[in-house]
Amino acid sequence: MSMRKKVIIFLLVMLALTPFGLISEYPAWGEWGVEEFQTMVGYIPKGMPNAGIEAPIPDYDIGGLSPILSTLISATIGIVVSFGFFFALKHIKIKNK
Amino acid sequence: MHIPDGFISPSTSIIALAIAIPLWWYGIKQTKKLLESSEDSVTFLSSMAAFSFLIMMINVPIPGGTSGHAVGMAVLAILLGPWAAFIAISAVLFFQAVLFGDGGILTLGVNSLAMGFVGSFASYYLYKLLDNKASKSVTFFISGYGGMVAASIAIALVLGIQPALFAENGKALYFPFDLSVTIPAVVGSHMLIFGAIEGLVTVAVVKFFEKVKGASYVNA
Repeated sequence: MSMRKKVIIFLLVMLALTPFGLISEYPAWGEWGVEEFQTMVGYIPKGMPNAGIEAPIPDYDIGGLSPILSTLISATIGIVVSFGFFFALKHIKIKNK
Repeated sequence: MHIPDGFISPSTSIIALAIAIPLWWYGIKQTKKLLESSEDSVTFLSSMAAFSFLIMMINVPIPGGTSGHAVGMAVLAILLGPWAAFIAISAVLFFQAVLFGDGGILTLGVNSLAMGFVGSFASYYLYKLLDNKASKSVTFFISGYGGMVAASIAIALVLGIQPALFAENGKALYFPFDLSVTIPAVVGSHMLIFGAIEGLVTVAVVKFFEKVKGASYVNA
């Protein structure tokens, strides 16, 4: 099997598996929202709220679409940007190598 | 294992970025050499980065109301070398933060250092240590397991030092749980479950790709 063929099959299988990530209702340990910190320690740590940016597709969830479809689209975007990054890196010139 | 913005102090994030930037620079130069080494390398490297992106989306629930995921650090480190693995995982974490709010922008340094640098290099050196001494399955498994546990130690340390360093009137400003909580919770769950998942994923994926022509670029 050629490398390209193997890679395409592999990524399609991986893509098809991503909706299984929806089975878990809970976030990773520690990656809680501010309300959960309020419940756990009795206050919201001052530095936590409003930190960071508003992402275009928060939590891989595209509003209005089913979670499975959102996940598959997000995963496809992930594949596209991964390829975009390394194809761009290949063609960017870096001085004094 | 993605630390969001606001969970650690900006000073912690900036120190991590200051360590990460020169490593990214060196890693990018190493990765460019790999990209120029053959026609197919860009496709293979992109695919492995995409694999890391996808596997991190597959959250596995564990008892205790939390979840976690594999990273693919050992797969990338074994098949591409630790520097390209570090760059690929850093790029993936960047896109996950910017597009999907997973992890953080300011915390990109610390997350890349933990999952990308510590994880990939621990995986790679475990692989080098065991290669030709243990069976392939055992070698790949331990490489994945060890990389994952090493990365979890880094994350647990960074989170766990926050409350002692940054508090006001007895209240933590950022992550409120100290090392006595983060070490067992984060490292413990990775030693028991997620390390093993990473190990199994490593065995399956490296075995699938190891005979692919051009896949073994490792020369670090």
